This record gives sequence, structure tokens and C-alpha cells, in this order.
Amino acid sequence: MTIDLTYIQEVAAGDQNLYNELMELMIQEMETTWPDFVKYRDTTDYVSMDRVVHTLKNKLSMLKLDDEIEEMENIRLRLKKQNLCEDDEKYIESTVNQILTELRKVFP
Amino acid sequence: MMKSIIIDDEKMSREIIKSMVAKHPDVEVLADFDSPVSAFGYLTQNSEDIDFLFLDIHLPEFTGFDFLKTLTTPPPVILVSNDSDKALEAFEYDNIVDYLLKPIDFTRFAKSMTKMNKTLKQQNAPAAEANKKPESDKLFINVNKRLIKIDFDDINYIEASGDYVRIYTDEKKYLVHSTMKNVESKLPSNQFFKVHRSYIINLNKIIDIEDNTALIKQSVIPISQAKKSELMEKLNRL
Repeated sequence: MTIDLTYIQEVAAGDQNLYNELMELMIQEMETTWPDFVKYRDTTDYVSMDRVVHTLKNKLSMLKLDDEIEEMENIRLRLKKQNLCEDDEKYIESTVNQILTELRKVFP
Repeated sequence: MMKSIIIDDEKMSREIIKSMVAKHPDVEVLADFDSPVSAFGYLTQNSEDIDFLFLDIHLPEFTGFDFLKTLTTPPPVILVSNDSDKALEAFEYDNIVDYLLKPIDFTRFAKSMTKMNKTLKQQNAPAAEANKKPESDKLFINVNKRLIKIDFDDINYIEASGDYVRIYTDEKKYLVHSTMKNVESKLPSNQFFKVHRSYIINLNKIIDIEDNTALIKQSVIPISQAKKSELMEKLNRL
């Protein structure tokens, strides 16, 4: 997974401060939102888990990170089953971690 | 230059809108807020200076639509949202000029600004039209199915009141179903002036002006900061 930064670059239009601010905000938002998912997963609260993923998806969509948005949609499909197996949990966790890792890679 | 404020709970979204505004020559952002509650006071105090709002639909306390309902004279709005399924509801509001979907594309943003510019010009057109002196020196108003004649000279001032306007004369006040824009277009601009979003005054009836208020009979009428210099130009001052 490689993060497509085209939109952020377009918005920033060479303004490095703005670019940094947007990237920083994105990472912060992901980092602060994701623990809620873990909390709800532990209590198998699927409605709240779906809400968290929807929030993450909205945040990613603001920066037009289409591939990552698609991943969030895949996660929501798994959540719809209302019965996460170990594989699902691993998939969800690794997907979010991967997105965060990629974001941190381009904005360490 | 169109002056706007942004109400959006997402900081990232506010930053993106601000960056697009910065790239556009005809718009500026006066302030940005993360909730309607924090914007409300600013909006009330500076309503005359704000041309339009960028408003997110999904807000923490209530929706952007709910927020619009709390405003007596809502300014034109550009809705900003993640989902397109609220677009239909937006059509129910006369003051919603456009609907921008996130992620906002700059070309689309620029189109939206053109649309807003056109809307604001149309809004201001009646005032320009009023520069042509109306042929009549009186106004007929519809009160309880009766048409009542009022001479322009008898009108002290006009006040907006929701979907109605109140026309104050020495003897009476009349409640008429109309808009300030419509009333303004019927009055001669050399005699009447809109000093505030909610007030049109008869310049001949001013007793005095102090700070940002005008005294007419016994009523103190607010003058918005933006209109004060224009009002001063209209007065025959020593």
C-alpha cells in the first residue's frame, strides 16, 4: 500500500507548512480515533465500531485517499456480519496500522 | 471581495477550505469555527460584514440545517459535506447556494464562488435599482386585505421581523408580509438607506447619530460598521 498524496499536494500547492499541517492532522486524527475501535471491539459493540470506521473513512476522504477509503469500506463490510472472526480482526488491525505506517513514512 | 466564515468541526476540512480561499482572488475568510454554538455570537454581532457561510452539515451539536433554522435572517450558504445524500434537503432552503462535496476539488470550488458572486450581486441589485428615483412618492401596503397608502415622508424607519417588515410612521406601525430587499427596491435611495441588515431609515428623520446608532423619533437604530461610512457620505454634513 502506497499513499497517494496527489490531492494533498494539489491543495498545499507548494506551501510546505500547509502540507505538513494537513499530514500531521491526518495522522493525529487516525491515532486518536483508532483506540476507540479497539475499545468497542473488546465489548463487541458493532454499531460503535462501524461508527469509528465511518469516521476514519470520512477523515481519509477529506484528503482523497481513495485506496484507503476502499479499505475502510471493506472493513465495514466485515463489521456488517456482526461476528468478527480472528482473521477479520487481524485484517482490520493490520489495515489501519498499515495506513498509519505509510502516512508516517511520508511524514515521519 | 466576498467575506465568509467557516463552520466545520473538522480542523482538516477548515484548513482545506481556507487554503482554497487563499488561492481565490474574490473571497476571504473572516473567521472559522468548529461548532455552530461558537459561531452564533460572532454571526449575530457581525452579520452585516459577512456575505456568506461555508457550513458543514454534520456538526457536533446539531446539523447544519438545524443551525440555519435558528437564524432569523440566514446569509447565503455553501454547504460542505462528505455525503451527497443530503443534497436534496438542501434544495428546501432558499439561502443554500451550493453544495460542495469533500474532498473539495479546486475547480469545483471556483465554480461555487462564481455562483455565490452572482447570487450576492443579485441580492444587491434591488439597492442599485433603487438609485433610479421611483416615480411615485408613496407606497401602498397590504394590511389585512386592505391597501393602505403611506407617503414616503411619513415613514420613519422600517424594521425586519422574520418573514415580515414593520413600517414605523409617527402615528402608526404596520406589519407587512414582505422582505427588506423588496421594500428597499420600492423606496427612493436619496431618502432611504439600509443602515443595518434589519433596518432601513428615512434619512430626513434622523435626529442624531452617535457611534453606531441613529436616533429617529425616540427609537435608537443600530448602524452596522460596514454601512456607516456610506451613510456618512449620504448626509449633508458641515
